[in-house]
Amino acid sequence: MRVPSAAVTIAWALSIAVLASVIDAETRSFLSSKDMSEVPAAWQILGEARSIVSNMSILQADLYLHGGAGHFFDEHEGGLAIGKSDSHDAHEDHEDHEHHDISHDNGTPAGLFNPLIRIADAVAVTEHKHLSGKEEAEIVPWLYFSARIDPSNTTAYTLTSYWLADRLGRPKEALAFLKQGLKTNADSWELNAETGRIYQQYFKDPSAAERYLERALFLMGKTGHDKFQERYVLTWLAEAKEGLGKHLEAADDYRRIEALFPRTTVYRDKIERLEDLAGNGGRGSLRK
Amino acid sequence: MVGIAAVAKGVLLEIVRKKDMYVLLILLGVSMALLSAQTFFGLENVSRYVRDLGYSLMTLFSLVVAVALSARQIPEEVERRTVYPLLAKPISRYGIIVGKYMGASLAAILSFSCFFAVYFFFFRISGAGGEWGLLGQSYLLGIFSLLMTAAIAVFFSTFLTVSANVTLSLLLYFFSSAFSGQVRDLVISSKGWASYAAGSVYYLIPHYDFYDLRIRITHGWEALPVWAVFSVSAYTAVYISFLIYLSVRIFSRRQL
Repeated sequence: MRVPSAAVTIAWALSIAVLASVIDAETRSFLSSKDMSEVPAAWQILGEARSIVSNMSILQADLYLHGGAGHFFDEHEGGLAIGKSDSHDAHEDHEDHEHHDISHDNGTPAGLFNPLIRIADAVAVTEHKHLSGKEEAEIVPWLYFSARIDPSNTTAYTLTSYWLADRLGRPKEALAFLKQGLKTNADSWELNAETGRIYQQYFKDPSAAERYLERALFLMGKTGHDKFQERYVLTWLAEAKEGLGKHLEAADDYRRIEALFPRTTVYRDKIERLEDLAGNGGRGSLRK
Repeated sequence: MVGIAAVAKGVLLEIVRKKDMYVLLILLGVSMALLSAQTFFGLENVSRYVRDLGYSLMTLFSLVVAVALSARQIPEEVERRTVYPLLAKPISRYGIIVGKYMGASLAAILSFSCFFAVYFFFFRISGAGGEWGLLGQSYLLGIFSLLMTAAIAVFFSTFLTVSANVTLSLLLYFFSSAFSGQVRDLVISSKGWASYAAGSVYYLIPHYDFYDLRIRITHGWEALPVWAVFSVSAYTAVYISFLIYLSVRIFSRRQL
């Protein structure tokens, strides 16, 4: 029996094409926390090599954060642990997940009596942990590579800046990296928002922060976004405006947040204080 | 036995004389040097990616050498008609297969050892701790992996052309590495006939995932338990024996 080499080569190429497009579609779906059905059909069929590798690099960073062992699918609401979230801090649940065995199927009879499965489970890393402290820097190369491979991957820039500024204490580097990203993604609201946040949070430069955050707000109005993202931008924008003494404008931004979340009352006090300050000629500060 | 050793020696000399291994060795050294020299935002002690990518490159290069060398042994002997003077000597077809396999395996081990030495050098300078047990295990399992690869390629070489053999061997390696976990989950989660079918596939495919200690080495996990290393050794021995037996059977019946 002789298999023609051309046929095998074609089979090889087809396998790679199908595999790559499946991986890419699943990765994009995972990164954006969307169902596979929401991934455009063209993406599912064709994919794009550069985007595939870039997204794989982000997933690799996520794996690194968990010591290479991965995490439970429902562990992090945003799909990735490396993505920041208001309600989640990777450090906070460090203790909870320590020594948690992810190979929960081991106890089933099929796994227990199948020698090959027992070997596979022994070889695979199943213990669960998070990197902490200076070790967290280990994920940065993969985020950096991700942005370098696909400069249009804005997630790579925002994640890198978050880890640099918020976790590793390097806001200058984070800002420089975001500005590099803005050169090729000037119309990305995400990059503008992050740049504004870092100016406000770390450099206490409300003027620059307002400029970037206003642009982010304008750009996000032209693209799909959720109300949590809008709240994020509006909160930082309000803070920047307050820093500039624009109390009424800041109060307006908080009102917009209230409109997005009608049940919440946490902004009421801030609005009233800002209005009081505006009534007193704009002097004073909201912060105590 | 002398005949088998002579055939094996011929294959071993082939890897020494040809440039393939040296080119890959230089490529590995340069790649790892570049990776080690890279800095990221002035951060210190960032080295896991060097260990990770270095291990992957070392594995890939070893695989390429093992497959390329093993796959061409039998078909080239037949194509060049040098198999006839070989069979005229006091050596059986069984001896030829075993000799070719042993030679290809030794050559693959030689090249892997060189690659591992380069990897080890950069591993040490990257500031990694002295996980000697784990390093020893990764070297041992790396050799087992190449023994398995050479056996598969020699088996395919008894009935496939060189290019088809290389393609199928590499496909098998990548699909086994990528999907063993999924097949495992299928074996556990399915019931009835589906479970038997998945179980059969799981037993049939070569388990390259048993040899992969990349994650353990990269992230500084503990070494494998001794029983696991023995089990992998036994699995490898059984699988290879079966493949060599099949190769001999096919080659013995083949019209030359």
